Amino acid sequence: MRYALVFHAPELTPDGPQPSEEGIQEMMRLMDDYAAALNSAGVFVAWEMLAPHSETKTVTRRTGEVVIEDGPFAAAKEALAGVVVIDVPDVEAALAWAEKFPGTSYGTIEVRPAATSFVDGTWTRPGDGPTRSGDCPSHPDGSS
Amino acid sequence: MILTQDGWGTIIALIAAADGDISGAEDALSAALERAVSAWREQGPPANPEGWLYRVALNARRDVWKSAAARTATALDEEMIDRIDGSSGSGADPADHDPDALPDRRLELLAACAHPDIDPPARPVLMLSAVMGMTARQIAAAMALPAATVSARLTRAKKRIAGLGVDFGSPDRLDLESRLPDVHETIYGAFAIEWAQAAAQPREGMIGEALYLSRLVAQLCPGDGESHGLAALIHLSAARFPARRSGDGRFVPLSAQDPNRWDGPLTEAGERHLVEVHRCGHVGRFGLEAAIQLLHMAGIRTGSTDWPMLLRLHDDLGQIAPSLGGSVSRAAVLAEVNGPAAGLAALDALDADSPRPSAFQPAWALRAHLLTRLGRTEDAATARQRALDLTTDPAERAYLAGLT
Repeated sequence: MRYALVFHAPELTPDGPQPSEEGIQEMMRLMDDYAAALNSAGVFVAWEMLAPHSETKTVTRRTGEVVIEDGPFAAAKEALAGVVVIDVPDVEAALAWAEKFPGTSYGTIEVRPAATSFVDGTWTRPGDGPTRSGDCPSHPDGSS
Repeated sequence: MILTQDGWGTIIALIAAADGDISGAEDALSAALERAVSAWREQGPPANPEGWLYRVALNARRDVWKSAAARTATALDEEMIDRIDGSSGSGADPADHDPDALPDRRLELLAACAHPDIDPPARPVLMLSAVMGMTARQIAAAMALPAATVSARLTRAKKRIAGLGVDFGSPDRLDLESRLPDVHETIYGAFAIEWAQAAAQPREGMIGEALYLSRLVAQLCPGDGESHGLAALIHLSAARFPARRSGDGRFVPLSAQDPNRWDGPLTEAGERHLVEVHRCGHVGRFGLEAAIQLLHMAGIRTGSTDWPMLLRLHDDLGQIAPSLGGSVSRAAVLAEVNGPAAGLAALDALDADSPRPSAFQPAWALRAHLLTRLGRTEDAATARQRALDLTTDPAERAYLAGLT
């Protein structure tokens, strides 16, 4: 079943503390290790790290016409910084991965199950069966 | 290197004990080190470099105290300065100071760093900085944390300690002993750091630092069994570090490790500390864990493991320091003594007691192993898959997947 690891972190501001070049390199290396681990475990679906909210456009047609604006309306202290989608049997496995996300040293990971996913041209729900081949979510004692 | 790690911690402990201000003591010692560079180049190093640095740092600190007293118009705390001045005259030449006479107050500094008012994750960071003189950058690199995170933790923790004031330097031996468990936990925490990453390679992390700190506590508290127990545990664990991965990076479980790849001197040091544990006559959690490790290592080396003795040690450990990991290890030992069915029953009992046993990877890995031994191949495969689902480390996954 698919889980989104939704990552929130403080955004860099020009007058705020800047990470060192060394620190950035180290974090990129850790993120790279993490991506490789997701890949080799066969649970990887997608990973997007996002540009700062200043580069965001908001689109709505709530009022009946298309309104495009710059940025989200309220800048929070922690902003949405990235989304990793993984396909694992249950929330315990998702948590095991979330714990290892390198960004948790400076931000927060939200572990959110997918309610329904558009996979291979069709909508699937968690109850429809495994979304990845070779999945084996059952447990000897029936617990999870 | 102008100043050894021992020298750094000794001088910081002495100066900070006066008012609990570790940052102030570090600034003063840094200033003294800066002065030493030029002074020693011109005049050559003094006979007692540590005494010289202590005296110069102390003078720098006193200037700060005096100006602070002048600013706030409160009476200068002469007593505070006397407390650290000790018997030596204040006008003495720094170079005359005998370094051997510097009293060692690092135990108080260690206890302050592990103070209950300090957030547990900040405690090891504080120790590395105050006791060992590591910079925030060095600590950040060792812990794989952003340097800004480490700096923020350090600043917060040092403020907390400064807020404790002179209480941090309590010379009451009994009080210090009651705080030793926190000191031990902090040092062990620095060693057994839970890597917050799906590391492709094991990291050295802070093994060297944890070895140093554990030796230091054992040296400062030679009559405390648990201090030696902690030193034994950290030395024996560190000794096996090189053997945990094969040459091509594959995961090697303890039972399959090559004893020739264990570090000889570290193993021997661990054994010596374990002898001290018995001499002290008090075996605590760390002493028991060290004894368990040594028995496992002896078994692998000789090809014959004393499982009944291991079970007794695990029973004792479960009594004084119950933990999920300890219970799973005990189940593994029980399976060796009374057969896999007994081990499996112990695991089942564990599942009934714990809040989240289904998320504990080692329990599933052991269950898979025991079910295989019982010939229950299908159940074993299910348990192994469950263990795999909970494993993020690629090398460990490869090892588990290869067990089918």
